Amino acid sequence: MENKNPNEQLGGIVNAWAETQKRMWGDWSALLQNLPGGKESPIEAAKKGVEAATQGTNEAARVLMDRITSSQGAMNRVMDFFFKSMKIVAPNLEANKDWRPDLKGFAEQWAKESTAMLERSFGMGSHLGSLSGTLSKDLPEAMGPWLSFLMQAASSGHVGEAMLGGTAGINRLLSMEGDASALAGIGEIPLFGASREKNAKLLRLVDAVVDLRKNSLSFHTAFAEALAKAVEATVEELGKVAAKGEKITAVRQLMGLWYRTADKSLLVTFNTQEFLDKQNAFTKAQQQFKLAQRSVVEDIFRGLDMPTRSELDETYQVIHELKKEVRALRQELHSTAPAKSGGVPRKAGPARAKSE
Amino acid sequence: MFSFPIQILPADIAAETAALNAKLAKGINNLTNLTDDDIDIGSTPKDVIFEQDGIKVYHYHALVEPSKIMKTPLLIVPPLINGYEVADLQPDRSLVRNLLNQGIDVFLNDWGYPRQVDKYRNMDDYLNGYLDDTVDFIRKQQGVDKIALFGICQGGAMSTTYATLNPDKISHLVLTVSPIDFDAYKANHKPHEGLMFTMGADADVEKMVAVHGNVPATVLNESFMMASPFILNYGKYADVIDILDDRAALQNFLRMEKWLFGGPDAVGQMFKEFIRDFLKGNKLVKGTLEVGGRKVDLKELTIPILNIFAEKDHIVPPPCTVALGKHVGSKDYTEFAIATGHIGIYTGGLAQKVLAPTVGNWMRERGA
Repeated sequence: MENKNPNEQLGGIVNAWAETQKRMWGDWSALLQNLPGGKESPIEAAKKGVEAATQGTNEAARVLMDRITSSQGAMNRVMDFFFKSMKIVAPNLEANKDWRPDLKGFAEQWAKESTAMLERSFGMGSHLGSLSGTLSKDLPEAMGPWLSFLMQAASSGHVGEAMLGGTAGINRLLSMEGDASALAGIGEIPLFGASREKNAKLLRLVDAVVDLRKNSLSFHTAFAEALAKAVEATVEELGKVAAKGEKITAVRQLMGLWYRTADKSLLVTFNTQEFLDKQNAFTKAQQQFKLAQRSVVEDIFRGLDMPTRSELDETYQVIHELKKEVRALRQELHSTAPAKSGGVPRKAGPARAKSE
Repeated sequence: MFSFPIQILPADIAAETAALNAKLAKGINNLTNLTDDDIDIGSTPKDVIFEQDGIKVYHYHALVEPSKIMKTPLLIVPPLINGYEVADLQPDRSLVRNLLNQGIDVFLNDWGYPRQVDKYRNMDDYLNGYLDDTVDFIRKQQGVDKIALFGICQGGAMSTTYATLNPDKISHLVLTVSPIDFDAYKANHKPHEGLMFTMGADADVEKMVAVHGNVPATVLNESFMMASPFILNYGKYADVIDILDDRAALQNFLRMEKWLFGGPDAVGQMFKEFIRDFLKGNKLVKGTLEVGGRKVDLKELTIPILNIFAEKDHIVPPPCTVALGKHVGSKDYTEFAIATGHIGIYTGGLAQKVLAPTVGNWMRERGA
């Protein structure tokens, strides 16, 4: 391979990398062929096989194997990103052209793909259209047409806000934008009477999903850009290796260089306010989604006469306050009790008070 | 022309893969034969002498003859967000054992694993409640007026606060990689230092606690791993394949993993208050911290202090630790640096030789 141009070299490496993965997991899968899961994909087979092989042994060993197999999948995606990036970079590098714009375009595309993958794995793939279908099915049939209109009207904004009135979506629906229509204010009328509050919770959950998707894309785009910068830094490192007349001859040697350089580069990005803002917005959107989800689930629990998280929290708070009171009373008791000779008076209760 | 340095031949990849697979095969055999007892952490012999709400106090068995044991008991205060076992990872990497070998009478507060019912515990509960009860119990049991505190990371910030509020109960304060001034790293900021502080300062902790109750250890681990995402998430597990066929090395690796990923969740209310008052508000050094209605003035901390930090600490950068010297009233303040990292100060090879002897000598010189 030596003295070939970068395109040919990389083509060979990418193929060899793919072959490595196939062989590595294929061999491992074969090794575990007598264990459950042998007929599935090599990585899944290895996971299940290891699970079975380590059953009955220690938890740490099981966790480690899970991490090795799980991180192997993630590592392959990252290495895949790296090799594909290098394929984008190499032709321009060889032609002494600026390779950064192509790399940026590739990173953006990769961000979209990885976000879509995450959404699928989180079960967030359903778009507003399918959600409309679900709501139409579950709510009284009479609401169906309204919901369809609302979904269309609020397609660029929040469905929940639209339904609760006073937003651009509902105004568009009623053609009130810019007009002093006789219908002005209709959006403020509670739409669903007694069930309005419950619907509002459901729709806030929809809003939270929309926000989560938006912020997820924003964060993962920023992350992909950070990875693209890490590739830039790695290209520069490779330049230094080449300048010294050295060569990289093993996959793990290349992985080591990529990981070390990428980590340094990522840390610079992670410290920027722009990245921190996107990370926080994503985290907050995840949290808001969980809170909205809980709100809906608690309604269902109440309907089934089951205790909700909020009710349990109230109980926990009462327990906490009671414990404080007990402690204060014990302290008071000790301070008024006749002093015993020697030692320091105990403030706490029994020496081995059991936890609740 | 750019001479492309990646020269990986398919034949080399095949050889690399074969070698890797051989290691994996042997490694799986090793893993299959390891039991939980082989991956023991926190194994130095001890007695539970006090227990309250799932929080245990350990008294370690002496490793030297009674005449050589110092008269001042030393209570180790671990952080709330990590397991105490970092101080006793394995027999040959154990701060606890090393301190015992120095003739120190060692006690340790194991904060345990909080449940949702514990989520409302706050700073006042931990310092004026649980820690105070522990200190009083040891004083009474050992028949001494004062004991020494040894703080680990967040446990050091808590120990500093407690010692300031209770000069009648604490005689010596030893701190290790303890965050005191949470802004000090910003002056000469390097990207790899203090990322957890930077992220924490921007985080909406109120909402985080509203969602989780107690903040899961996995969330805290993820922010820890952001400091080196590729190496800690992938590189480490690619490298471990090299030692899968070495049973002893694998056991050591697994002990660290067990500690690292087996930590407790962070108690919701305490976490909120710690982030609000210590990290965001930096109230300890500003002199505005209040715990249980009592103001914490570091100028009132006048006991001997040994402040030990790790030169390569990127989690609690050294400036955040050594800032303490500027704020305390103590005339007997000593700093000691060890050329290691945040975890290496307890588990690293150099620390095994240096940390405990430094503490032992320092305590002996001060009549402990």
